[in-house]
Amino acid sequence: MSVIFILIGASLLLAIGFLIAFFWAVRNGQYDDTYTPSVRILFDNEQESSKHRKKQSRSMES
Amino acid sequence: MATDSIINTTIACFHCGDPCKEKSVQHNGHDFCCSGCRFVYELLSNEGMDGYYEKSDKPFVGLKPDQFNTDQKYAYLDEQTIVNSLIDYSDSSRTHVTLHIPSMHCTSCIWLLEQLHRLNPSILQSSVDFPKRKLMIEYDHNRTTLRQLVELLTSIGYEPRIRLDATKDNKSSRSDRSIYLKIGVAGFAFANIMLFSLPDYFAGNVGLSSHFSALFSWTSLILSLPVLLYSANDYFRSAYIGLKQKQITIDLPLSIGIAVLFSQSLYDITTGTGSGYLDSFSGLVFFLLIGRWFQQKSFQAISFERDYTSYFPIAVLKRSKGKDKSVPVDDLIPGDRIVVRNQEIVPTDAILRNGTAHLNYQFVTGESDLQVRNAGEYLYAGGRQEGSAIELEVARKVSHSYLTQLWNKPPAHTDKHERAIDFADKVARYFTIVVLFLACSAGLYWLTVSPTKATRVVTSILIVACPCALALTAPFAYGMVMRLSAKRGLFLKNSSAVEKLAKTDIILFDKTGTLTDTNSYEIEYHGEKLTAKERSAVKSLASQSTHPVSRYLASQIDEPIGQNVIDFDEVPGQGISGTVDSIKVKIGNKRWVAETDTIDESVDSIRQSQVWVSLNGHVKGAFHLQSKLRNSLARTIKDLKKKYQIALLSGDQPRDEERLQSIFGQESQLSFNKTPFEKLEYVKKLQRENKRILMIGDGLNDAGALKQADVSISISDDTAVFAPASDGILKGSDFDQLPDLLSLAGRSVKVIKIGYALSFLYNLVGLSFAATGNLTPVVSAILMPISSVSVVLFATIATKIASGSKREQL
Repeated sequence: MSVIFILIGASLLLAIGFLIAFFWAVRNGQYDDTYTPSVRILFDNEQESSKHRKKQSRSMES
Repeated sequence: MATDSIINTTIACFHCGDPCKEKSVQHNGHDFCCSGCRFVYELLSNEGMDGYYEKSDKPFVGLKPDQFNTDQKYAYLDEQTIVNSLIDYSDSSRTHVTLHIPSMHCTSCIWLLEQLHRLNPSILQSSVDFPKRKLMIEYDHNRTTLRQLVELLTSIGYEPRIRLDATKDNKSSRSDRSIYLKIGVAGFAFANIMLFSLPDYFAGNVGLSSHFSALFSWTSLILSLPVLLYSANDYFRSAYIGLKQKQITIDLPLSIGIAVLFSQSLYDITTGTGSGYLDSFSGLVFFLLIGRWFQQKSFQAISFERDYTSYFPIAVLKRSKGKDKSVPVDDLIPGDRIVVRNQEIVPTDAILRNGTAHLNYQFVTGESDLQVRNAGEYLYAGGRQEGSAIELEVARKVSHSYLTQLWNKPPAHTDKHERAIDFADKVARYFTIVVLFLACSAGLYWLTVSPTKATRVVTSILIVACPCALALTAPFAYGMVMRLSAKRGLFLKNSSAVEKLAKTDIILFDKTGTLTDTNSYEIEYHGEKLTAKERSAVKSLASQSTHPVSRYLASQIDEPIGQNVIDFDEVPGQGISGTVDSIKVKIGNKRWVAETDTIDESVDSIRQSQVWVSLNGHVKGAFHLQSKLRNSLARTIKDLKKKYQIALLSGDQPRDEERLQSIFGQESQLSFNKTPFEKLEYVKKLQRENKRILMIGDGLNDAGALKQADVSISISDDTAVFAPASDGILKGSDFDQLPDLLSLAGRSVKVIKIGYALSFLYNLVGLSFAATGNLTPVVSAILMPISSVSVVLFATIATKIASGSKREQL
């Protein structure tokens, strides 16, 4: 049964990883504007430019 | 009626969607209403950006390139000090700037604005924040200047609104992020702690082996620390602030509940006597924060806190030693000579030194008639010059002008504060006292029966009484009302505005711009009768101009546009002239049309705006324009009168008195000729009679009264343009929704009261467990989410139903 200690540790680490990802996303301004990217992604990329590749990643806690 | 003109104008401009006039510009098989729109089309199609026209099926209404000369308009953007205050960041080659562009409105706008680098290669990147109507541009400042960028945007129809105070907005939006982080932390802790608590609940009588239970409890305790210290700190802080001001707010019982919940758990875990209530604790904070977030709904594209600086220019041409130089308006000192050109705003009180001023004080008074001033006369700030440039001598600093003083005059808030206490806080006062009393008496009882249980009972009561359901009802109900109101044209600043709307006793209306529609007029012609041919000539000429009055005049003459206009000339602030079918036509103000300097302005001409007409040098007569009352006014006022006392508070001449009295009814008081300060005093006087005032206005002359009133709504026909600071902004076209919106606010307060009753019920159930000493963690873990979630569901659904049922009645 002592394997459960490792599992708990692993699951917590994973969850903390997601929390950190969430913090990063918020600080990066990804929640500031939740409308424009939804439109932007539908434009054809006639000229490939990196700015259209902003993806919205949402992280959820486990 | 005007079928001819409708047939003539059905061709819509390919670029801006406006109806094209007879002489539309054709290019590439498309029709354009003016050469400006064609220019934008050419510009875009040359760059292979026709895609702009395919991204959205919405018409590009209002996206007209700037009509008047912009040569010098943005000259102040060459001043490095001004540029520095506008940009966000700059290094040796790149500069970042954020511009507010009110005219962006559709998918195509986003696409075009993000493709700016194709129009000007020195733009490295541009990206749009649509909800805030912001455009972030990164450009190479060695190859282009901010002025060129702004002029480029203006030339394609996206004129930025440049304000020095815009920089403040950026900082406030950053702090909004913390609510997401707090919710994230609380949610993370809640979910994980729940996982650790479940085994304990399901273990039943057997119980977990001691090393598991210790591990689970201690991990939970560690996980809950950030919730206590970070996520919940706003509640503690606001309860503390409330206490310092000797006030009990809803945050006080909440904080007590949260603190006791945590301390009890801490005690249980450290002494090994139990597993604590940490899942309830973190869940509670999580739900509370979500409620707060829901309530925080803000309309980012609309600013409610605009003051005079957002209306005034940021820079003005200062003339010293024969040279003109742009200086920020705040740097002006009395005695400076400044130049105000066509369409610019007089930034401060000044004396006219050179030229003739034709000032439009529409923004200040709501009155769109031009006021003429001659050299030597004193001008108040806020007027827009419509005519050739004038030279002024500054009489007062900008911050001391008559207008700014009106803004800066603090409203008499002392008595207002007591009046504005939220219903939730009022309930919280009694609630807290009752709960503390109950906890004490139960504690005393148990001290006599079984002293060991006494502290546990006291903490249990405090835990259970934590008014989380109570605290969640109002945010969700009010948040819902704000969303529903916004759909119907009323944008509210915050949730307390909903409650204040519901408590209104008296509604005060301003007249011009509030009850009247500034964009439409009633036109009457007085003078020598015009023949059909002459009327057609007038129409042809008027339709050449872009001035709203000319356009309106043209649309109201139901003759076909016949002839080409030759020698068209437009003198800003004066009028237009041209030759149509060998008739020399002049339309404009009396003095200009009659070509005399003698002004014998009769009473009539002051009371109404007039457009004079002369044909071949012979003055024929004048069109009298009167702004129209809103279509729905009579019905709206009738509806409002059923529930509220109403009154009119106008700064105008009593020219519509009879008409308005018949709409308002004999019992309503109509006051005319009120100065802004008298309006403010009027509101104060009613407040002393203990009435709650809703002030509805639009101009700067209402600003004082709007601020002083218990709750205020400003009417705006375009939410992107200026509206004075108020609790809400109502779209002019949705004026008839007002009675509905007010009753929706009233219903939401009822919903909240029922919600409170519901949450008291939960508290009673909880108390019955607590007072008998049976509040185990598992009971709390079940009771807490059920009560919170059910109250939230009730508040949102009931509010929605309350608004829906009303709509069916209509």
